[in-house]
Amino acid sequence: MKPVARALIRLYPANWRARYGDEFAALLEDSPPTRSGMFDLLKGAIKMQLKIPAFPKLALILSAAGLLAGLGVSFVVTPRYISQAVLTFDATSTPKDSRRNLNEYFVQLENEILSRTSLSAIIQDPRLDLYRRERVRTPLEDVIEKMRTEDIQIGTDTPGSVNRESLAVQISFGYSDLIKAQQTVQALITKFQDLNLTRQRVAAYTKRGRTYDDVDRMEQRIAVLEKRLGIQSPAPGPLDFPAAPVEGTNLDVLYPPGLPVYPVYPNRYTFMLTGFGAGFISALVVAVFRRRLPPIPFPAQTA
Amino acid sequence: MSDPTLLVLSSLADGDKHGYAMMQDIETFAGIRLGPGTLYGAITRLEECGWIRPAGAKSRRQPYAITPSGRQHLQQELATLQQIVKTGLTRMKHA
Repeated sequence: MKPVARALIRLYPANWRARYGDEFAALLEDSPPTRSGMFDLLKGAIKMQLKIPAFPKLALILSAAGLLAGLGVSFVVTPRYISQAVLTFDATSTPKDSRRNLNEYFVQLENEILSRTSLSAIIQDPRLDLYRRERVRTPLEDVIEKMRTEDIQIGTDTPGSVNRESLAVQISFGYSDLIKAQQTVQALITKFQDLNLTRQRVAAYTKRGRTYDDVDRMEQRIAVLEKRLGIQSPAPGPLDFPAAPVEGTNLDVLYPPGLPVYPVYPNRYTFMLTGFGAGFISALVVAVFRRRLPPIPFPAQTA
Repeated sequence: MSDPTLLVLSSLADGDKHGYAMMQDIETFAGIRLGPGTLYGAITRLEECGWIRPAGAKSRRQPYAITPSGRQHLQQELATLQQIVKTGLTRMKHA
């Protein structure tokens, strides 16, 4: 007989085994059970255990205790909230000849945003102050790595496709604080927007044949001329570049980061169900190994 | 129609059989292979009801026999089934 089958027979009540055990074992020797037969054995054992008057009560008590324990544990476990947002990269306003591969462009931005410097700034931003406990125990490098690989998820609608005019990007962040989860996604979006704008400006100036050095040189010459002519220089203000309409990839927020009301983990129902199952199995184990079993009125014994 | 107790009673209606023989017989006449747990669950229930009893001396391959009350129960159940089959077939013809 297969060892598994022998073990499953032990799940039957001792009194039942005393009455039918030998012939049941003989049947399993004549017809070794298949995988479904094993399941049938387990089902039969549970049914037989339920016939013992004390078992349903024991199973009910332990299952209810397990259910409540599962519910209790679900409140103790650190929750995890996920905030999500969707961005769209749109290159339709760019002339076709200068339109770059959107996926490639997105990957460049993503790499920059997920860099150590960028994530470190987000983590240590006093408004967010992420992973405070973890940072006490583990090096910042490890915290950044965890944030990058486990908590931040950035994905495109169709990765790998080329020559596209638009691209949807989903950004999500999982954290124990729902508000910080939302704020972090917002911070990531802001970084995407800033970086995209910087790239647009650089592209615009490069196209016009100017560089920041050129602008600096022109400003110095203007300052010299103003001094010679005795013109009082106005207070320095921000440069109004790019004055001309910017060509490049537009980045829009299609769905702003949502405030996750319910945690994705722990799932209270799963915890309760697991506790209930564990309680029932415990009752089964207790019933199997209990020394003193109440008598079962099997006909052969009562006759 | 696949009530294991009814299948076991039907199997024992033409003579005593042990567990493995019942399993094979049921597979032959009903096309249903009862699992060992299901078969012995049915045997336990039937013995509790007094519809079957161990036949002959106690042995590892214990044969079972149908009792007169078991036979009577089987007859009633089969008559009910026959009525259901007859009614169903008649209604299928008129549908």
